[in-house]
Amino acid sequence: MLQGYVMKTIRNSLLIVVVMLTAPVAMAVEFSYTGFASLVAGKVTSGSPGNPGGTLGAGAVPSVDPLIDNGHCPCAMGNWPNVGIYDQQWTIRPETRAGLQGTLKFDEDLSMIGQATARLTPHRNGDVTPDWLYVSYNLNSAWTVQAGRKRLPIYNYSDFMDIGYSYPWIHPPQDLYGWQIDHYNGANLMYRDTVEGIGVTWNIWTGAERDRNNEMLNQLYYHGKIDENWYNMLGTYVDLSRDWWQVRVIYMNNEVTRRLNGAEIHSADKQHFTGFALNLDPGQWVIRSEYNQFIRPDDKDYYYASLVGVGYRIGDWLPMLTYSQFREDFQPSPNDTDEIHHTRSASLRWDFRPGMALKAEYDDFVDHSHWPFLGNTKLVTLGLDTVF
Amino acid sequence: MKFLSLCLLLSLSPIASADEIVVIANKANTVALTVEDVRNIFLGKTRSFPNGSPAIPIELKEGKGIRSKFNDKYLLKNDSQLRAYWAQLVFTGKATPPKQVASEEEIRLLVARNPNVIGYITADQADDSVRIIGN
Repeated sequence: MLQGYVMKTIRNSLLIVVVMLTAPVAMAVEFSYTGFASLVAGKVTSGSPGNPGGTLGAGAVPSVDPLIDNGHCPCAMGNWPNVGIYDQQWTIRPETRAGLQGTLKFDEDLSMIGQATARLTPHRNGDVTPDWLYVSYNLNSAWTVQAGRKRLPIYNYSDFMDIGYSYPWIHPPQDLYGWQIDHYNGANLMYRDTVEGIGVTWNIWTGAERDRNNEMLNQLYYHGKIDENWYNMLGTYVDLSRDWWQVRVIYMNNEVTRRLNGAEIHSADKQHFTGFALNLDPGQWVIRSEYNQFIRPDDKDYYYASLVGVGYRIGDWLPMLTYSQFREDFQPSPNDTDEIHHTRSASLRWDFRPGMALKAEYDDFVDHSHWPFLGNTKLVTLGLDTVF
Repeated sequence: MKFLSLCLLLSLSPIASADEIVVIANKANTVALTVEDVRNIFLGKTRSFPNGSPAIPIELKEGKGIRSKFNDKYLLKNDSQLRAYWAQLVFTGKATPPKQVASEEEIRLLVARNPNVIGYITADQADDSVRIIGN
């Protein structure tokens, strides 16, 4: 009996030690989650082939666009990176999505965050992929360092393009957001504080991303399998805001190596991005504007894109008119392969309850690209955005 | 942009009428705050008070009491605009929203207990366990 008592005491003592060692850690970690979803239906109501002009040149673009081959076009892009294409049948596949973000908070300064998104676009077919998975550590109340996988914050809406609830339209003007790489794996340093009353966010990041089967380039630009590698990224943006205005300026450069069916067609080519956004919300007015440039200097390939949108809040409603345009200037072959298009949009957002918004949008897309590309389309989309 | 109501706020004395919103801080926290300072803290644009000490804002849950009044007056955003604002920051890892509690009493208790906490309650809920921030 004494032996049993001793054994029991030893066992209980060990249990207490184990609980003491693990309980503080277990009890201190908080888990929380939040999410977003968008249900979007759309249809091209009318379309016509674009007006290529020029002659088809050697360039980076094949003689006939794979989209045309598939008989999809005239077609409208709701989401370039995920190849969310609308044609003349009603569909919810191009932009419908849902995401969940989980946060493990170890203490006030250290967290681990993961975010995964599910889509209905054909190549994803409901698969869930990790868009964000990173550790965040507050060095002090103004400086934070983060490392892991994140969306690439090139232009104003780039890193929150999936969060429909946070912007006026069903989709941010896609003329500016057609980029084939929208994530990076690396690290960033962020400063966030107020300086003389102005909210300042400064972010600098480095990293890389390789997509061995890049859907956007595969389906829209090349016949074949594209392996796209953006590396040696170095990017930075400054975001200033106060009261009713916000300004954002970004610069990023990186190298790109692109393989088509295994053969290198871009080899450590330099490219850089610059962008300027100005957003104003004086009174009931909503003004959104952006001007972006992309340059691949060794190829003498220059892209310019811009948007300007004006809206007016009437109670819980936000009607808006937006103009956006994209123009490529591929200098080695001036008329042959330039991608050129613009969009005039009319959109309406109704915040019928906090956390949910209904939207309707009409996009009149005119395609002046110098090869048969998407074509001219009039797209109608209806959407429900939510955050929870 | 409600310039007029901001001017009114700035000219208010710390002694407010019973149903008015007051911003409260811990008694050990003697920092002076403008309306804009309060806004910047509650919008996550800064995580510290003007003197550099950490600021932890606490707000009421959606649908509760004076939350909408506070948001309209200090943050210049309604509930939908605030949700849209935070969605952009939360899903991109830039900032996290204030902790939310269900009652003004909880806000007062948390403020009284922690020198870094700042919150808001109706004037008649304030007692001498907390300091009302005036201008």
